[in-house]
Amino acid sequence: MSVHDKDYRENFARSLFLTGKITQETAHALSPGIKELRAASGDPITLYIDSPGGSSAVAEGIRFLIKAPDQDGRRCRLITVVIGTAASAAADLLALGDYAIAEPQADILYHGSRQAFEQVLTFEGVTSVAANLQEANERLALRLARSSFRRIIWRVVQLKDAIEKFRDGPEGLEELVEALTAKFTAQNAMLLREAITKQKSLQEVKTAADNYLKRRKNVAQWPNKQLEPELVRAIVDYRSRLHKEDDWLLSRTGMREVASDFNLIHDYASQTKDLDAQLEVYGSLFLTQAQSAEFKSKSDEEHKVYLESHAADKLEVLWYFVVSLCRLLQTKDYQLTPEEAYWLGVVDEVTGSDLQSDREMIEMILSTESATRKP
Amino acid sequence: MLDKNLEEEQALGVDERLARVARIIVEQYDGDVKAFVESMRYRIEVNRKAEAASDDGDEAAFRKCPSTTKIIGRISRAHCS
Repeated sequence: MSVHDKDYRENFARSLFLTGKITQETAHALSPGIKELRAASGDPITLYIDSPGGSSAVAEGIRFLIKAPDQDGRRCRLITVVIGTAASAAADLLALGDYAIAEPQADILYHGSRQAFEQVLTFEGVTSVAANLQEANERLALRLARSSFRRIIWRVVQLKDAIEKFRDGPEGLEELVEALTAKFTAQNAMLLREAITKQKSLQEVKTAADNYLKRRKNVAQWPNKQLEPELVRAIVDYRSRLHKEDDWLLSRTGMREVASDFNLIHDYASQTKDLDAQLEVYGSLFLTQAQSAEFKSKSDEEHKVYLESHAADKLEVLWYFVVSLCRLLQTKDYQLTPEEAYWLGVVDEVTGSDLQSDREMIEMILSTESATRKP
Repeated sequence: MLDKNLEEEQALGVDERLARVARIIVEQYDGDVKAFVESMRYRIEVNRKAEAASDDGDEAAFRKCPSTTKIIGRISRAHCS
């Protein structure tokens, strides 16, 4: 008998439909239904999506309304299902589901934040809008990376030969990504190749900043007020060296590059806790056969230390790759098939396909356990 | 507007069920995800076939039994004669 896990299954009886452009009216129309479902039980809520996008803030508000804790601290899981189109803010909402499903006929489209204007803008206005859009893109990219990271881990461990190389060391990332590109159309494969170039540059700037700060005494004890200006100096130092042959000036594009690097390193520091948790769970999937044998012979207390020294560097480069990928997704237009969205970590499952999903793996274990328990 | 609590919850949430899948793959399948999936799919198929065969067996045994009508008929004939 096959066992179903409701946390990974769409449930029409507890569902809502998000169709058309996402506006404040969409939120008003969905809110009573969300409240009703939440009051009825703490079971997952399924959100069917067929939308060209719209307001990111409203989409975020809808997600929050579904997932926010109730008076008893109970939260509902959000299962997102794209049944037609999920573009822009709707694509973000799809990916941010606790479990995201794509139907085979679905279209998933990504592009950066946009803002329409009716009035004439001044130079100051344009500059402020540009800064806001850049900040919105960065924020969305990081959130997307957080939800895609676990999915990407499960994708890359399926790439048999390339994953073996990557288990040997983080320098195998390029080969791993190359194996991943085989799953994409030529145009979308470029996205992955661009992401690997970005990942390398991010990794370099982080290493350079680490080395710069290592030369200072007791950096670990410094308050942020002291650390942040020093980090900016480290980045300026690195960028100046990198562009020593070019006509590179802070007053031209330099300041933007420095700000972007600073945000990334700063964000990385805040993600360390998150990466630690992922390392504990998935780190062992990134050990070579010999390391794996050694790992198994160790006690539970020793496992964490072992993973920190043998798998953390691989997860770190993979994380930077995912962040780079998600940043790029927010800059240009990318149209993804459901299978591409699966391999990119945007969705967990494509219905009707034989692509391995979290649901299948979890239910397979439950089913075999249930069969063993039978008299 | 982003909610900080929700962001944190999303960032730190680790799915225990997936953690268990990862442990099984490492401990029993040397980290080979494909081998795990294939083996599981095979085991489930074997269980499904065994279950179907057992259901067929029950049905065959049921078919051998005299139908309720025949039994009732026999009882009524015995009763009336």
